[in-house]
Amino acid sequence: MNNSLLEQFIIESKEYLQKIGEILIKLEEEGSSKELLNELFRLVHTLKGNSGLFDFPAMTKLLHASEDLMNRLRDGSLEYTSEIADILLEAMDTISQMIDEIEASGELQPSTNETAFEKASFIRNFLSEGKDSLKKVKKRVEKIEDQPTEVKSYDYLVIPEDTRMLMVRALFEGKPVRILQFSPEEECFYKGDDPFLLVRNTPNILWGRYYLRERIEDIETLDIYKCITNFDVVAIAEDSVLKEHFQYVLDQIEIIIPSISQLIIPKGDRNGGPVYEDFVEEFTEMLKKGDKGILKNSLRALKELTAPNLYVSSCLRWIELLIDYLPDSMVYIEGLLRSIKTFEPPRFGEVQKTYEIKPEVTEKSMTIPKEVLRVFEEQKKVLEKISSVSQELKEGILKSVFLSLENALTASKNSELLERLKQKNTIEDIRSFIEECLSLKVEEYRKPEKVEKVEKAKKVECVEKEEKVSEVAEKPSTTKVLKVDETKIDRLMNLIGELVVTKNSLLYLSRKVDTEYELVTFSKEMKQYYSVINKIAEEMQDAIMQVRMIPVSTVFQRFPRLVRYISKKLGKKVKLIIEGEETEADKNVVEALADPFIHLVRNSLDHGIEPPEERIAKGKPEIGTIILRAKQEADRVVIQVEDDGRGIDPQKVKQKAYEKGLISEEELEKLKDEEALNLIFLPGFSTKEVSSELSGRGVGMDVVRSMVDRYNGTVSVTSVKDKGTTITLSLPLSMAVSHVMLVEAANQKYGIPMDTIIETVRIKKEEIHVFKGVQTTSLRGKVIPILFLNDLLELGVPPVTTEDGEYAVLVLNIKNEMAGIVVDKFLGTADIILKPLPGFMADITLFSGTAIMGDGSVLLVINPKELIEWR
Amino acid sequence: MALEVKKNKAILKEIVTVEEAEPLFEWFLKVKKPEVDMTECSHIHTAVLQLFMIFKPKLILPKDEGLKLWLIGF
Amino acid sequence: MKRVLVVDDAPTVRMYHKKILKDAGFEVDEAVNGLEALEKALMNEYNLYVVDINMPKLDGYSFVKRLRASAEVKQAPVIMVSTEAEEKDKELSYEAGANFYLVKPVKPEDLIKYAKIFTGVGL
Repeated sequence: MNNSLLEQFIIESKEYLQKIGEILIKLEEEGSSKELLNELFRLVHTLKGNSGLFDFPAMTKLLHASEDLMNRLRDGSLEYTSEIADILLEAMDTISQMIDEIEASGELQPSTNETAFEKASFIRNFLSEGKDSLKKVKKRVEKIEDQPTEVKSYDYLVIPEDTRMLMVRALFEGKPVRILQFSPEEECFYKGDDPFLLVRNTPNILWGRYYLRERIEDIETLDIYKCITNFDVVAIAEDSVLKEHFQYVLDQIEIIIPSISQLIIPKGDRNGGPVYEDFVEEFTEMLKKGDKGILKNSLRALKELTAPNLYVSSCLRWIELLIDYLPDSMVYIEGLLRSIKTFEPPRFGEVQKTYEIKPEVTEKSMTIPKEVLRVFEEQKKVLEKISSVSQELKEGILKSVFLSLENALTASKNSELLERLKQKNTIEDIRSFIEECLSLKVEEYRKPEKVEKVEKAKKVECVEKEEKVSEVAEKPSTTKVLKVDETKIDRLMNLIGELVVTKNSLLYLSRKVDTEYELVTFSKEMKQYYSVINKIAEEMQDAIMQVRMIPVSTVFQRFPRLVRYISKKLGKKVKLIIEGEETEADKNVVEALADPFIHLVRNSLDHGIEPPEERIAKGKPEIGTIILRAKQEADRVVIQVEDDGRGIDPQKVKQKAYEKGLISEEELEKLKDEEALNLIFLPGFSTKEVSSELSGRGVGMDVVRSMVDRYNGTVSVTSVKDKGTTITLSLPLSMAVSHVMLVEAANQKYGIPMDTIIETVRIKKEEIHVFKGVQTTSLRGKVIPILFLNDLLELGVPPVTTEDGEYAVLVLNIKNEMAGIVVDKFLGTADIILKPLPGFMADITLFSGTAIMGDGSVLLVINPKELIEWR
Repeated sequence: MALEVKKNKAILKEIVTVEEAEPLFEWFLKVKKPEVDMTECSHIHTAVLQLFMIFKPKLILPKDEGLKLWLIGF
Repeated sequence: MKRVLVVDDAPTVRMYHKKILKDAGFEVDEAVNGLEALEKALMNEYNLYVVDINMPKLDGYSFVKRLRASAEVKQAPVIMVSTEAEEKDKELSYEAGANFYLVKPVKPEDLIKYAKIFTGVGL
C-alpha cells in the first residue's frame, strides 16, 4: 500500500508544485489577486495534508508554515511583496527537492531536513515578528522555542542538564525540589552580612550560581561595598526549611517550585537524519511492553552512535532517566520521542491533557467500547449546536444523529439500549437518552471493577489497557498476555534456586539416616520422596527459566538500522542477513549480548567490508554481506557475526602483537595462524590505531572478550584473507543456576563448572611425564598439560592417589585448550546458585563465587580460566 | 592576614573577609594579568566574589571542594 | 455491504482512505469535490460519508449543509476529516451537520473503527 500511495503522492505533489510555481510568478507579474491567493492557499494546504500521511515531519512543518503565511496573505493582514514571494519560492524549492529525494531514495537527506526546519522556523518568525526583523530571526527563534509562552518565568536552561536530571529524579521520588533566587540588598555588607556564605550553607543544596545584576560602567569609581551579586540555588528542601535558613532576608528571596515538564529541556545541535524515526517507532512499540532493561539497551545502542552534543542525544539521555520512573514518566517519554522526530521542543502539557481524559474514558467503557462512547459524546455536541442552525437543516441533522446512535449501538451489539432508542424521536428525548447512556456506563462499570481487583491482587497487569478493554468488550475468553515486573521473576528465580539447593539436603539427610541411624527403609522412602521433589523442582525451574527466555531478536532488531546508518556513513554497500532471530535465551544473556554485538558488527563494517571499488577490484560482489546468526547448541546459545570482507591477516596480527610487546620474538616465530588470530582478543591490541569516527573510540576486541568472559561465555574467530571473518560467541542459555562438579582437594570441597569439563579420567602416576618443564600426559594420543589443584590453590598438601595409585583428573576445555587438573576425589555433580564472593574476597578472580550446599556448608566455585592463567 | 600580595599574584588563605576587598581591589586596578592563588582558601566574602566577577583573574583553585565547585560552576 | 463515499480533492488522500476502507470490507465510492459528492449522494444511497473540508467548487461544510437540507436523502452519518486540529473547525463541522471529526492524517485503525461504528458493523 505504501509504495503505490507514495508514488501517487509524488506525482500529485509535482503537479501541485508546478501550479504553485506558476501562480507565484503570475502574482509577481499581475499583482496580487484574491483568486490567485485563494488557489495558492488551497494548493499548499492540500500538499500539507498529503505530506501528513507520510512520515516527513520537516516537509509537513515547512508546508504548514507556508500555509499560514498564505493564509495571512489571503485574509489581507499581510501584503504580497517580492520579499514574501522570495520566501515562498524558496520554500517551494525546498519542497521540490524533498520530493525529488523521496522519489530517488524513499527518504530525505538529513541536510534537506535541516534546511526545511530552518525555513519553517524562519517563516514562523517572519509571521510573528513582521518583516523588518529578518536579520534577528535566528537568535529569536531559539529563544521563542525554548520559552513557549510564559513571560516572566525562570530560565531553566541556566541549570546544567545533569543538575536538572537530578531535580527530575528527586521530583519523581516525591522529594521537594526548589529553586531559590536571592537578590541581596545593596547595603548588606555594611550590616555585616555575607550573602555568599549564607548561600553556600543552604541546606541540601544541589546547585548554585552567582551573577552580577548590574553592569559595571566605570571600574575606577566602583563601589566595592555595594552588593550587586544575585544568587540562584537549587535545593532539595521544603519551603519551610529554606525560609528558616533565609529568615533574615525573606524579602530578598523568591522560591520557585519547578515542575518536571519545565526541567526536561533537551538541548543541543539539531542535526540528525531519518535514522531516528525508525528508532522512535520501535521504541514506542517496546514502551508498550514496558521492559525497562530492553528499553535501556536499545537506548544505549543509539546513544553510542550519537554524538553527545546533539539535540537527539540530549533527548535520549532524558529518556534513559525517565525509564526508571515508568509508568509515571510515560507522558514525558512520549513527548521526547515526538521531539526526536520533529526537533520541536517537547510539549508535555498537551500530552498530559489527553492522558487525563484517556484513562477515564477507558475505565468507564468496560461495557461499551470507548470509541462508541466517543461517538455518543460527539452526537451530544452535534445536538447542542442544533439550536443555532437553520430550520431546513435541523431535521436532516437529527436524522443523522439518530442514525449514528442506532448504528453505534448495533455495532456494539447492545440490543437493549437499541430498543429504547427506537422509542425516541424528539431532540430532547434523544439528548436525554444520550445523557442516560453516558451515565449508565458508570454503573455498569462496577462489575468489571472486581475483575480488575483480582488481577491487581495477583500483581499482574495486562499488556495494554486498551487491549484489555477491547478484550472484555468483545471476546472475554482470549488468552491474556501478562506483563510481570522483572524483579518478581527474579525473586521467583532466587526462590526456586534456594529450593533446588535445599532439596539436595534431603538427599544428604537420607544418606545420614541410612549410615548413621541404619534406618534403611526410611532412608529408601526418603530417597523416593526426594526424587519426586527433585522432579517437581526441576520442572518448576524449567518453567521459570522459560518465562525468562526472550528471543535474541530483541538485540538483533536494531541492527538493520545500525548497519544501514554506519554503512552509509562509511560509503560502503552492505547487505545484512539475520538468521535464527527467534532463538531464545535467558533475558540476562540476551541483554549481555547487546554490547559486544555492537562492537562486532561495527568492526565488520569498519574494518571487514571493503569499499565497493576495492571489492570490485578483488572480483567480489560489490555489495558486502554481514550475517548475524543465532542458534542453540545444547545448553548454550551461539551467536555469530560473519562477513565476507577482507579478513584478518594473521601475519599482520602477529607483527602487531609483537610490536606492542604482547608476544615474544619466539612466539612471533612459532605461533600458528589460527592461534595468531586469537591475539586480537588481547587487551591493548587494536588493529586500527585511528579510532573510528563512528564509534568515537578505538574498538577493541578485548572489550568483547571481557564482556563475554564475565558471562561465562567464549569467543572465537576464524578468518580467511580476502574471504571474510567469522566471530563466534557462545554463551550459556541461562546464568541463574550453575551445574558444577564437586571435587575434593586437601579435605576441602570445591566446585568446578560443568561446562568446562570434558571428562573425568584416572591416570597412573607413571603416565605423567615431564616435558619441557611441564607435567603432561597423553590422552588418546593427545598431549595435555597436567596441573595439580593442590599446587594451584597453594594448599601445601601433596595430592592423594587412589588405592590403585591413580590420580583423579578432570579434563577441562579452557579457551579451546585442553588441560588436566588433578584432584583428590570426585564427589559428583550439583546444581548450585552461584553467588558473588563477599566484598573482601571479591578481588580474588580465582573463584567465580560461592554457593551454599544442602548441608549448609559453603562451596567455593573455581573459575578454571583464571586457574590456568595463574599458573 | 588572609591576603598576601605579590607582584602578579595574590595569595588568599582560609577565610577572606570583607576587609580584604579594598586592598585586593587596589591591586586588581594595578596589575595587568592578575593571578589569584586560592589553594589554602576556604571562603571568600561576597565583596571579593564580586571583584572576581569584574576582574576575572586567573585562579589557582582551592583545595576546599565546596568553594571550588562554586568557582568552577557546578 | 456498507457503502462509503470518500470526498477529497487530493487524489493521494482519496487513495489512502479508499484503500483503508476497502481493506476493512467497505464498498467505497469517491468524489473529488463537494459538488460531485452531492450529485452522487442524490443518486446513490450511502451509509457513510468521509469528507474533507477544504475543497474547490463546494467545500466540506457546504456539502454537508446541502446534504442535510435534502429531504429525499437518507441522512447517513458524516465524518469530517481535516488537517486542522482546532476546536473551531470541529464546531463548524457540527453546525453544518456532520457527526464526527477526525484530524488528518487519520490513523487507519481509527478510520476503520469509526466507520464501523457509524455504519453499524460489528466491531
